[in-house]
Amino acid sequence: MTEVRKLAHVMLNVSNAQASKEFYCKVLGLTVSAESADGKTVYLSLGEQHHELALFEGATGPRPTEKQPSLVHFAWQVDDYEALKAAYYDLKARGLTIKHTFQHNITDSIYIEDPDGMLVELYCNRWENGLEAMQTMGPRTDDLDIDTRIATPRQAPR
Amino acid sequence: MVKVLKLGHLVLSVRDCVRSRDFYTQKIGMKISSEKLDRGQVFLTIGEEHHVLALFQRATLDPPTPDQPGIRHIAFQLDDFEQVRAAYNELTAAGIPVENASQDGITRGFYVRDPDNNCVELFCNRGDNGFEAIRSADLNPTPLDMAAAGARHH
Repeated sequence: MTEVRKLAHVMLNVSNAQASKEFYCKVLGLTVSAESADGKTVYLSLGEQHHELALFEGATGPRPTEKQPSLVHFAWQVDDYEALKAAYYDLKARGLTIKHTFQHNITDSIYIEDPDGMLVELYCNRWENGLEAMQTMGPRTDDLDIDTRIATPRQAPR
Repeated sequence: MVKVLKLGHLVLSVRDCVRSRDFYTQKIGMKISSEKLDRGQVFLTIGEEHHVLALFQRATLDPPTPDQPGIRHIAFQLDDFEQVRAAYNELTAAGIPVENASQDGITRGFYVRDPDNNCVELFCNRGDNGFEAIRSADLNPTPLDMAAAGARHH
């Protein structure tokens, strides 16, 4: 029976690979590990693997509608809550809009949009044993006050 | 300056979360960490993560066309070429169309489609130091003969 060992990378179809490259390098701290001569295929890495994210410039059409199967968001872990809060203010200082700040049962999370409108989550884990926490508490989403880390019931559904 | 630790998870909008769950659990061996079928939500994991893939049943229309922005593929790693070949044989035997078995300078693998036509790559690395290797590797894929390739792995 096949058992995959890990989620290794994602390749995105984007409308402008260079714009997306700049975004992901600045916003997540990724490094370019390889790039095609025409600049339309870019591989980005955290510094050990060949890539965690690849960008392919093949999108000329409209963004998927809410009713099409598609990416809801993809998520990148940061060290701890201090790092998440620092990221929040760093991204705001760069003029990016923070779309959501949520506290889930298992993570504290902030969300931004990439140049093609794809939602990117940055999160820190709230528990040492995340799997056990997920199995016992399940998912949940509250609004998060980034400064106080206080969660309140969500005002509007996402 | 933000510096993330790792790619943690992704969430897909799907047409049928049970059908997608069964694909990811039964075909590539992921485990359920939480599911709320009444809300159309399934969380899947590998190892000790709280989740690496979540499936939200929100979609009713056809999958995106190749010109729409979004996921081009999602890649899951296996330990070595023997596992890649075993997965290839297992999925083929299960009647799942396997696409594009290939190798480049850094990986060997193949692709299958999930129930919403998302392209899922299963691969192994050809060497240990991927970050160094990709800088000088030939990234043009060449077809891989699954039956013949084992003997000259690495």
